[in-house]
Amino acid sequence: MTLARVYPIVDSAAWVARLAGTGVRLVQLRIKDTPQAQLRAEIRGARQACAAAGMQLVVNDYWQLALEEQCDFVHLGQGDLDSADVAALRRVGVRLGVSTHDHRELERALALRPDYVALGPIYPTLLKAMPWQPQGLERLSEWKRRLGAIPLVAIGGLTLERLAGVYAAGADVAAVVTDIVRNSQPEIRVRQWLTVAEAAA
Amino acid sequence: MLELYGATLRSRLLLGTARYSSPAVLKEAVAAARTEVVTVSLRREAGAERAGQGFWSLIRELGVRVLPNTAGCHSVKEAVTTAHMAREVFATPWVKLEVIGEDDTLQPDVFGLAEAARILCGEGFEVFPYTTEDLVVAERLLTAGCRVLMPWGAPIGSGRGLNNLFGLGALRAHFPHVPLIIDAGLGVPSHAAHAMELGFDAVLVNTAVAQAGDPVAMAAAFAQAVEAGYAARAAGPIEPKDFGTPSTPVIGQAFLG
Amino acid sequence: MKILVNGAWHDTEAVKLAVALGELGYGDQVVATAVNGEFVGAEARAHTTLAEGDRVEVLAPMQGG
Repeated sequence: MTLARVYPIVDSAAWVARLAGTGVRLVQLRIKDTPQAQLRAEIRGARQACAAAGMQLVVNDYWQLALEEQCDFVHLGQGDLDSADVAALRRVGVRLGVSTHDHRELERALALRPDYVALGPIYPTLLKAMPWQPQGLERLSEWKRRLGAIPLVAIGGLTLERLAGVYAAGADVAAVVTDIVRNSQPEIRVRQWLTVAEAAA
Repeated sequence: MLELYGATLRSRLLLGTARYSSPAVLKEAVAAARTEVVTVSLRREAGAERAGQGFWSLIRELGVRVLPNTAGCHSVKEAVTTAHMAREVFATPWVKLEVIGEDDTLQPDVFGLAEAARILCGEGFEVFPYTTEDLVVAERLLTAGCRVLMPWGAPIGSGRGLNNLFGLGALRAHFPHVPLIIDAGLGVPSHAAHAMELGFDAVLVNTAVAQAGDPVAMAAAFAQAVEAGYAARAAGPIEPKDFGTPSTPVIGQAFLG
Repeated sequence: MKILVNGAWHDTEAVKLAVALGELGYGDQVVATAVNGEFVGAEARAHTTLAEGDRVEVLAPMQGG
């Protein structure tokens, strides 16, 4: 399946709604440290905003809630894979994105026949100040060779300036948090991303 | 059993925690290595982020001993101050003392190292000095109060293995009763096995595991290699010869000519 | 007054290191501190007076080899 090339990651339904109408077609809702009831409300709100604007919603981590709220897509880390009921997700038609950092995690992800595989952090990131080893562009190319038709999502430290290079290295989709969310004019910044993505296609 | 400053350890593989691609990979590699000691460091932390706190929780959950390092220190003063800070934060007198002298090879400044060791041993630290195979430096470090030495295999992160076999062999022979831990530059498990076969007491590995294609599998492989090398040494290996000696007995061989 | 914290300049009203740390958001975090290259232990922070241009380092556990 073809995924949109630009993939913002935001932490509220309000943010998802903000992206409606900008041309974004794929967005991830990543929320941490929030009570269950509020989570459900956020997921529901995000799903509604996406449905109204023709965007695909990916829910980070909370696969159970995503399943209940009938969201399109779930993004899981390797730790989440231990407890997620992938079969149940598949039965209902929820798509699966899996994050990877090394070969072993890639093998594990591929065994699940995911709908995308994410590799990160490509560059040093601001959000997670811990100095985990950046993957770099060469790893992106290696991952693309191994993934074949499965979409490759690059994530971590991506900026408008780095975007063309990331696509050239083999990423099908570029995920972004800080460069858009912390920009003084996010709507304008996201349109710039979409323009570069179009040119790189 | 390995004894380091009174601590008894089953595992002779120590692991560094740097250069992993994610916390999950680090955790699994530590488990696969069956290590009981990991090295850690101190770095600047911004007030808003709690990355250091997160990392510290992760390490505590692993239930391993920490060996804080003075990585990046180029002077005696920096190293001593860093050691003080580490002792407070990690609540241990253990310190892997690094005083770096040269930025291409990251080799120790052995003069600064000996001086810093003298100061820190005097203050009650249990110092693990990252040193070369130089016998005179080793003597100075032991005189200063170190009871363990960590000679390099090769430059940090180089993956070259045991660079100076003769020097390392001489070091082992000169200090038969000092725990010697090969630290830095190992690339593959056979390097670790070789170090153990030479009689070294343990190895410390970081980049070779963290940067492997599959760090968890590599960690397990290193653990096996360290055990194999240690067991082989204890089992009394044959001496190498320059000529061949038949293994199959000559007596009773048929004459078929 | 201005102090340099982890390489960045900050404006602070705080006179004591402990207060400055609170202002900077360190709160109850496990950190180690040094002022002008000298280690300042946790108990000493409340009594350590800062001056204009002081270099403060605030370190936390991180990965290391």
